[in-house]
Amino acid sequence: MDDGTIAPAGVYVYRLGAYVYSSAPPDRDSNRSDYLFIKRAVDENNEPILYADYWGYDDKGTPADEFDDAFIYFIRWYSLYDTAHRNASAVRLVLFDPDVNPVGEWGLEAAPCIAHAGSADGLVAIPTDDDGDGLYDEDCPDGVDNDGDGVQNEDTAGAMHGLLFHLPTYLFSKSGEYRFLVYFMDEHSIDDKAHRTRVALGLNAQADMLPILWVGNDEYRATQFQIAWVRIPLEPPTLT
Amino acid sequence: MGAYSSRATNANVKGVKTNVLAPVSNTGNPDVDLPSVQHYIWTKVLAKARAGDLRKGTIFAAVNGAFFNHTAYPYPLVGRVGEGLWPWTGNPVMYCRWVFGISPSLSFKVWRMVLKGSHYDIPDAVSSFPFGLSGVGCLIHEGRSIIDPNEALEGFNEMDGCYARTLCAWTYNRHDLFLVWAKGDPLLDTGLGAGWTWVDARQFLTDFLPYGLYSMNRARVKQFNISDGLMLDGGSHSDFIYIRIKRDVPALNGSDQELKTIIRNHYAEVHDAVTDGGWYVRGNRSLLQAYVEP
Repeated sequence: MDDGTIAPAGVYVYRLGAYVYSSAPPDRDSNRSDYLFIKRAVDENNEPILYADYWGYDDKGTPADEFDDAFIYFIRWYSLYDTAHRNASAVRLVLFDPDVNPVGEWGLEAAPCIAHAGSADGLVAIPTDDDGDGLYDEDCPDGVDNDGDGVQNEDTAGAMHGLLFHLPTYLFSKSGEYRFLVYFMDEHSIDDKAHRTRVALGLNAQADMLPILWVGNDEYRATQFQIAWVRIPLEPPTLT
Repeated sequence: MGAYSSRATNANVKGVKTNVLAPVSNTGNPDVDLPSVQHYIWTKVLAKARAGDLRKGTIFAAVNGAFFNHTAYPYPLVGRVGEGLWPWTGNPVMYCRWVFGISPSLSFKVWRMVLKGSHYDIPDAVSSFPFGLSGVGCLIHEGRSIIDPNEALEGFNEMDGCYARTLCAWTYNRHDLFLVWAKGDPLLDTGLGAGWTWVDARQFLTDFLPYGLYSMNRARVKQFNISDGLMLDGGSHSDFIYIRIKRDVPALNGSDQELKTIIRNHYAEVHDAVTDGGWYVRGNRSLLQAYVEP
């Protein structure tokens, strides 16, 4: 990094751009969408929400068979915004293990969105008229009072979403920090000089998998208890 | 369609072991010398901290186990403890009680003790299990609740008493192990509850634990199917500790107390007697520990 230190291992999202000033007119290109943006949600203290929420466990109705089980995680509120009011064309989730190796990738087009009563609308990027003035995407996506009406963050949410997704438990075979990278493809091939759909700058979230989990300060028959829950991981199943 | 095959791995959980604790000092005063699960785990943590070897992700957890003779000092073992070698340390017992073994690959098995001469001891089949405890009580064996007190812990008739308890329990598939400590003691005004009877402890494993564990946001974590549950200890000596290192700890210098404070306040999630308000004088002669070291 600039100070000479080595960046810690992690999932970094970046935009690579190139500019040619000598051409007429000047030309530019980027490996990320110029139209589609994802904005990370903040918590009640205005801090960015960096962690995916553990949402539950799905044993698929077969509690004795762990190989079909799934963890359910929740990517908390994010806004998807497209400057030309088009929806995204696809969304993918990549799971990275604690060694930052990708261990799985899934399409999330059918993932239920908590913000919209569980409907599978995670690709919708058209904002709603939150302030009811008949105008859309004022001030988007930077949250600055660009239209000069003295009000900030009008409709800046774009389309708010919160996706639930199921991931096989056997993929969580290591202890440590798992990272979820969600990326959306835009729907602007017609606008691109090479007719490409491009990826919006990704959104990542993190979840910790503890091999020995403390469970405590709960009660059973008016007596508090504490538990050290030792989770001996499954290896990925092998079809025989 | 296809059949799945898999095996458990101990790649993450580096150890589930049993140890015999030595007195923490040798003053001759049982209250001072009391060996403690907490002292044992903190000693390991402090040694690593001083060596600059305490890494993020290191987790220790332990409960005490095995019954002991209150009338003798230092408290002699009632039963045996596997410390990684064969034969196990300790003594045979007068009654037919229970033994569990843990292998290095974290497999697990429970037996009833067998009569050898005039006393009950561990079966020869245990020899392939370097860790474990004998002389303990059984709450559930292979899915069957042990109702008869004389079968659960022969020669013991205080099962109706409400006390603090330590238990361990495994699921059928051996992928989940629980080290449980129930607080409370009728002799201590701790405000934490009156503890559990044996029936409470058994029903905790059959009625609560399989369905009752929730994450921080109250999402159900899983449904468990408990196959074996063992009663490790009861009374105010029951002991529990959990330490999770949240950040790499630089090499530290200072007294034990200073280092504990630094680690507790800045580097670790700790659940021990201090976080419980310091009510308990704890200690026993053996412990069941689980740990992960990255």
